[in-house]
Amino acid sequence: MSAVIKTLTPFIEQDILLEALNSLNVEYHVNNGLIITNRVDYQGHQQFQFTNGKYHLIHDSDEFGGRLSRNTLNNDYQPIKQFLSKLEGAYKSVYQKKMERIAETERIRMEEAKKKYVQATKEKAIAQAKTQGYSIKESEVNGKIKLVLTRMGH
Amino acid sequence: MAEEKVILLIDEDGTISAKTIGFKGETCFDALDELLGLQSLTSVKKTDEYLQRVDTKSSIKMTTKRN
Repeated sequence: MSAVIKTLTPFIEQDILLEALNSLNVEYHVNNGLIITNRVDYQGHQQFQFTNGKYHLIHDSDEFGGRLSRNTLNNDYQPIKQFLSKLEGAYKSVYQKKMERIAETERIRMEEAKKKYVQATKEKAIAQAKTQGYSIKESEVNGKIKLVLTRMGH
Repeated sequence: MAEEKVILLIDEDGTISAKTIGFKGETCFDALDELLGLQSLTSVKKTDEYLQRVDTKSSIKMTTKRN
């Protein structure tokens, strides 16, 4: 007997998958690229294997035939379909948070770059003004830098 | 000798607005070129003072945009 489970979201990134497993209180350890979970079925520990660019859950398909090992028949065990559905939701949530963190990091980087640019622009203008014989008064107006350059005409 | 004044406003994204006061003729452009370079100039607005006193003293407002 064989079974195919399809999830809507491919589990591509290990760190996101591990965090998603954490959020579902699934224990695991990583060994040679395999993420071996504490979920046990007839064939032993269920594990995620990275193939063709994403993680696949390797498990005993007989679960669907009702021939689970006695050890898995407890209240904590969720059937594969239910487990993957919850994992998918958790993965999406972690992924979204990661994207937000990246966006925030990028926003901060761009803000810093902008500040540096403004500072450099100001310093360049002041340096040029000095060489042109201007006296300089600096102030801030509505968040803008105001430079008043004054000299006597030639 | 008349006083020449340049007022620069640098906004949060590095765009510069400049206003010149008291320059003779189009020397205000030269002054701004020396200070800022005019390659990144995006707009120039000649003020009333420039239009009225172009032969003697001039005044313009200009804006540069961050590259």
